[in-house]
Amino acid sequence: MQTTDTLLIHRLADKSAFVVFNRLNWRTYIIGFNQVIENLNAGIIKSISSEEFIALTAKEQIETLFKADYWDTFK
Amino acid sequence: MISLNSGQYTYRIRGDIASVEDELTRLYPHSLNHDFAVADFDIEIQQTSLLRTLLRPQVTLNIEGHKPFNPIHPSKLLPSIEWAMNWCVSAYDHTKLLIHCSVAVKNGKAILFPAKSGSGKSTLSAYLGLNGWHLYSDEMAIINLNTGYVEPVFRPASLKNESIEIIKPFVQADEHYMSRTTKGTHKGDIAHVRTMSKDVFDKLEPSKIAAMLFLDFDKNKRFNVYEIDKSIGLAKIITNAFNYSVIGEAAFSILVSIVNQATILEVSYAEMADIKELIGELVI
Repeated sequence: MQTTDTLLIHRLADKSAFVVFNRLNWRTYIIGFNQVIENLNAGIIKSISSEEFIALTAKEQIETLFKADYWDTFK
Repeated sequence: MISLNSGQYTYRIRGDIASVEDELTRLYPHSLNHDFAVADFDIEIQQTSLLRTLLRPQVTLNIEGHKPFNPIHPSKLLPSIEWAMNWCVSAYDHTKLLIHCSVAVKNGKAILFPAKSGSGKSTLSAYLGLNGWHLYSDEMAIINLNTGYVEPVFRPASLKNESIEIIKPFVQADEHYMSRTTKGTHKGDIAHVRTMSKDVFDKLEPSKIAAMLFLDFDKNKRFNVYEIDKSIGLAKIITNAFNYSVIGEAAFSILVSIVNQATILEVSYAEMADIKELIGELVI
């Protein structure tokens, strides 16, 4: 789990999705893990390949996506 | 006036309850009180105008100052009181996460059956409650936001139409009771069944949620079980929650925790015996 002032983010135990709760608008987002991988393969995040990403822990994956401003979409 | 204690909640029911008091006493043994008591919710049975009373008697239920249901014939009062009790909790208790589902517990492990109307969840949960399981609720899971455990309520299961005859043969023990059938409600014919005694209820403890089963009852379908992604399970369970959007972050956090630890299945079935065997394995 990762938190910011605005977002609360988990990766589900079966790695099927990341789930995001926005503390400002109280919306919940479910982002399929495959969708993130597709985004990586499409080059949206250039700093890491999808293979490298899959090998990371949940915390590392969420942090990597933070660094790439991936979660800004849900703010 | 009576005060009805369902374990979690106390209801004050005012007005002319003479026609249903006997049934309420049987459905809620050792739980009714005629003395004034502080109650969580107030339900008042109100007569409509004198003219209407003479021509076509109707009553309305005034629930905490609201009248969310259409007026009914007095003969349909019992199921309406039950629905009013459900409404009170789902509309007002936001200290717990409330999910529209039935809950059956065995070996300290709870199984949730969130499902749309007609999926057979009430029939199944009544069947389980009469066959060795504890029915924690036929209508909603009451989930503690700190522990994620589901808490029991002393309420009967509500059965509709053909489910009544399906379940009747299992109402055998002294601790079981099936009410008379109320014909012709807007949901069809309705009966209520108590699956345990008050003594048994008083010993129940909050239970960890071991599994969620999304049911699809169809006489013509084969028995099929699919494990579904937790992401799909989470999305489905959120849509079944009464007060997720009211509670916000605490509801999100506890549901993620529950979904992560629970087995989540989609089950299509035609025979209750099939599903009983399956869920027995989930609580070993």
